[in-house]
Amino acid sequence: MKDYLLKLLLGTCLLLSCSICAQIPEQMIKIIVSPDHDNWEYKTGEKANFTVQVFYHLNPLKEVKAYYEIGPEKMEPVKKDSIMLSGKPFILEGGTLSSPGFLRCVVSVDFEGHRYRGLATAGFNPSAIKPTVKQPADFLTKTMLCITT
Amino acid sequence: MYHNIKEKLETIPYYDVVNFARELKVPGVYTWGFNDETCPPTSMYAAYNLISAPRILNLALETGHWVFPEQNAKMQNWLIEVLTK
Repeated sequence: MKDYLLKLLLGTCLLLSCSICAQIPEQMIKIIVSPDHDNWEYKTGEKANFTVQVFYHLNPLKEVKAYYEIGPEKMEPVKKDSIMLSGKPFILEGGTLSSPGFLRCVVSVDFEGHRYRGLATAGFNPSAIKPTVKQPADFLTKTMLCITT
Repeated sequence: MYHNIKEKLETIPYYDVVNFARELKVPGVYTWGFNDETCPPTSMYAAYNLISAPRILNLALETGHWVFPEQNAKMQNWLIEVLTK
């Protein structure tokens, strides 16, 4: 019975967590940023490049400025500049990370009063990312966690 | 830094999801994208990497804080599979 309830609770949590993340709507200007590794993963120290393509009515957008920012996720960008769109894809050199983590490239375009964004995030040895907090000795008693063994 | 004070740093381990992830005993399916700007993949991996219970990771790389219907379908199929075992 306890096992069944736990499974039911788990299922409910999963279904709830799915239903709250809505799907993103299509946008008129599409900014496609692609990391140059199919699985978006790199080794630490390895260089990541991003290919950028901007589409309007599904054809390449020209003569509009694209702004870009590259840097470790959630940190201040280390690279920030702009480029005039030529209608051809362009490549941004993202550099690398020396420790496990994520490097993000955000590209934005202002067009007819709207700002459009596109991004890609390269992972560097993500399976080696470690938490920053430690587990206190009294964690289980203080959180009164119910563990089934 | 406003948050960088002793009391706050001593309190966060009781709330940080990583410490709950360590205690997981039930199997689970996890899904996320590298472009999530709300729940960053750095913290998702920090928690996921600690899970010793059976785990399946379905990456949908380009997703932000949203999911493709295919991710939901995989999740539900797995759930039905384990519930009807």
